[in-house]
Amino acid sequence: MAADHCAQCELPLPGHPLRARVCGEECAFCCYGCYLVLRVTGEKGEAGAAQGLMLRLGFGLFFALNVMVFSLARYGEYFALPQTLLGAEADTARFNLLLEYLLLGFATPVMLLIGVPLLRRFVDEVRRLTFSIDSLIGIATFAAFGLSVRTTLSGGGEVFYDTATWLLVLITLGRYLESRAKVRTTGAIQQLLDLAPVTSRRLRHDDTWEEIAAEVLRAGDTIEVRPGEGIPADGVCLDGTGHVDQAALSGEAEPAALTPGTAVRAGTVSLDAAFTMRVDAPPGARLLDRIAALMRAARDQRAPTQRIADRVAGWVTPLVLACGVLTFLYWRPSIGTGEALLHGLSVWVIACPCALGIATPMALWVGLGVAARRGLLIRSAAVLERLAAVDTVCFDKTGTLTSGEMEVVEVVTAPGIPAAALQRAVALLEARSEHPVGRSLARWAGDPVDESLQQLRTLPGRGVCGEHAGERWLAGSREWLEEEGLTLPAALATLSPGRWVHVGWGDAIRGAVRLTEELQTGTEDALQRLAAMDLSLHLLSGDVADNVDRLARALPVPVTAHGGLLPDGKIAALERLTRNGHTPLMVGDGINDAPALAAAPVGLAIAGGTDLTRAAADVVALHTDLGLVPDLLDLARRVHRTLVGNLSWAFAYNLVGVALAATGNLSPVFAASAMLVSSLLVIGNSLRLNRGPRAGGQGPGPAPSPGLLAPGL
Amino acid sequence: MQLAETLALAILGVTGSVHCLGMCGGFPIAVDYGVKGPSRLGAQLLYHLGKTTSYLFLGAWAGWAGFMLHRVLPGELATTILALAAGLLMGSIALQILGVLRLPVLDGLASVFGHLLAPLLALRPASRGLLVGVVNGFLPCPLVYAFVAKAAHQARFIDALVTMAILGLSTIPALVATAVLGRPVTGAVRAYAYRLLGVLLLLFAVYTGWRGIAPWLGMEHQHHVGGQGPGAGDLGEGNHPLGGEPPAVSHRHHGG
Repeated sequence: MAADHCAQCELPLPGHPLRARVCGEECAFCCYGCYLVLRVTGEKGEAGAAQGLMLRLGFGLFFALNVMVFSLARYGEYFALPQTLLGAEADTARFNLLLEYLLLGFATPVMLLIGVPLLRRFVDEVRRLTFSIDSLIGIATFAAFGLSVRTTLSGGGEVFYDTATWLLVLITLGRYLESRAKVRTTGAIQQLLDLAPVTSRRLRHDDTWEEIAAEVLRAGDTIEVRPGEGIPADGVCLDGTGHVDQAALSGEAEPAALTPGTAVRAGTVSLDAAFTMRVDAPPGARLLDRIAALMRAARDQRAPTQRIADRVAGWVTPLVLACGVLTFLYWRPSIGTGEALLHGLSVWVIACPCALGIATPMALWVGLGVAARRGLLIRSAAVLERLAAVDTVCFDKTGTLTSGEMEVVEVVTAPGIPAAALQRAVALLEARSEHPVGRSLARWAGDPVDESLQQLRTLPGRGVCGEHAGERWLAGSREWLEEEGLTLPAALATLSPGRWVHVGWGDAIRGAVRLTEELQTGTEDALQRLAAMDLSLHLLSGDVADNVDRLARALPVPVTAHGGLLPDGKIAALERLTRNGHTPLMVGDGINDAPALAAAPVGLAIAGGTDLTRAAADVVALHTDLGLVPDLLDLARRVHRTLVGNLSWAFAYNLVGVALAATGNLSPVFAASAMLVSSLLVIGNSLRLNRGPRAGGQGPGPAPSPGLLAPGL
Repeated sequence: MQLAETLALAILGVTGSVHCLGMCGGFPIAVDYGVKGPSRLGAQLLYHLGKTTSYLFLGAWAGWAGFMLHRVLPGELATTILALAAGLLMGSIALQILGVLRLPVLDGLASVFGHLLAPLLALRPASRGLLVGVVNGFLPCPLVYAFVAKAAHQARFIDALVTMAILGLSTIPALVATAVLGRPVTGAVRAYAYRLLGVLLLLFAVYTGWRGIAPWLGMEHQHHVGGQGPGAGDLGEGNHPLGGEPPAVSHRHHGG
């Protein structure tokens, strides 16, 4: 593990990371949550310190539950003392004091178990003068606890044990869950490298073959690849023909033809070709390795998202701290140190309303729930925050925008040839085709009506041919048919641009059919919605530039096309966008998209993707409907608005409270009722997210549970 | 709370727990896995302590909500609303158990609990009991919801706590038996117990709802079986009449 990355989530570390010893090793963490997760999950086999942390959180929760139960008893005399025990007013007071001591007993372990780390963090942050929401909550909870202890020890009164403990539990639990879900790009990088086999057969000097580990291959070696095997290195085919599945690099399901002289790349798979190749780039220097390096670089540049709450807390926390100290200094001469301390502490307590603790998690968790109901699994709440900033959407082509199937849209025949005859010829030629284009043609032509062709052969990269009634029948590219000596009738000399398959028999080309790619259902509608949201759209494809340009022009909204991109090209395109100040969302499905999904600020894997794709993506869609993309971005924007609304309210309330507390005008009744009202406002505002937008077409389902958040806090 | 009601709740809890082995039976087994001797009993007790604490937490909130309703509405109205709401909730849970009704399932919760429970089960046996119990107590469960509804109806701290404690205690025998003996109950028995739970819960729901309406029909004297309503209890004399006036208190609010 590089020293400049978080030991848990492997994101680059902030300026002053949290450092701790885990498994006897000095580790650095980007946040407290990551530290928690690594301690708990990373070392679960070991006894001792590792499990201690999970225990802290768990026991903290246990004691906090008890604190809440007995605090409830005090809320508005909910605990009505039975008449027999209730002798006098003094007894009620004594009983309340008893409850307070009980609360003190339950709250103290919580503060020690999960409060101390936050307090330590606060001290650390004071030292370097950068503040996060955690430290604001840390100081406020301890102020609340301290104030309550003083009240209890001096005879009872208003106490805040419940506020202090539950804020701590919520913030710690939230951090823990969040960090567990952080993306681990490293896993995706390793899976990518695993695409290439680890062994290879190399030709020895004595012309025999030896089985060796792929990593010892050198440039210039000759190796053998058999049908069905993966290719271990980049190089050039020396001998053999057939097809290679390049989907991992290009994303195209269409197998590429392999002939002597063709360049081959590690990570692709030989389908039917047994061939020898010369190694040009051995493991370590292959395109695959360069892509892995790019993924690492992209991961390193991706700074940890600074949460909105932290940005605001950055200036509110010092303000509040100063207010507390000034209050103490102001009152000390007139009312004495003890009382002035109380005033100062109450400023800190009021500065951290319950609403602040739940403002962010509430909106994000409701947002995650809404997304899940629509079939979008979002890896973490931080992704949802990042999605709100997206202004550019980049799509992969095949499998994402298009279904990968083709359809026949135009048929041109030579004079005197009926279209039905052409269709019959295609049916005969392509009946047993495995090639995607051939399969699409066969679907269009229907079942062959008479006897099949003899000597049916497939020529990689050219087409198919066979013999029928003593004549040669061919279907394929025009160039190939002309090479084979067929003449081109004038009617077929000029065709509209597009992807044409020519069909001929005897001595002439008899006709041609044009194919286009089928769009996924809902694609056009989704693109129009995205364009209406002021997003700029890009198409990043491994297919040849012509096909990509043609598709982009056929789309209903302007889409910038980038064709012929291998995975490293996709990453480069995304980086260009990022450098120009955009925040792109990458949408893809194939293995070849995985590096781009991992490198993009946000990656969305469409259903049907591979494990690798899902591992690399921040969001996984459970179906292929592209309408999910505008749904997702719309949701993210609404969550963002809700978040900002929640935080503005919480901080506004906060500042008013601080002002009142500093001047000694804060009445407990105002504090309590405002706290309740503001918490309810935050909860209500967040739950509004459940009322989804109409555009998605999928109505909102049942309201999700707000999770473990205790209402009324 | 009256003895009859306490007994009724205990019977519901015991009946329910026989079925619940299907869902929660794995936890007590997992909790003392790899533990020998007396500490096995300790692990079980801690598990139930954790689970019951979570129940108490849920019940205390529910009771408080009922109590607050008493504060803002005239006593009899609040009682009626709470009794009807509790009766309806318990009734619909009973109908769901009997297969008559399908209630929406709270999905999404499962993943949160999965996140929480998985690492807990890997903890050392001595400590995982309590924590697994705490999380277990929050798992979505119709039986727990029924008891929570009852606690809201009672609208008194002590009664709400006793109700939830009964739930916690009454599930101990079946769960401990499972942990000790492995698998003492067959699927057929569990299915039978589940149906029985549905019937009993339905009866209890009707009874609870009826107590809400009875005073409006002027029939409370004929139907005195259920005690004197919420607020009535064995803990004190001179309690609130049926419908319980809100306890006379100074309006002390407490922030949170």
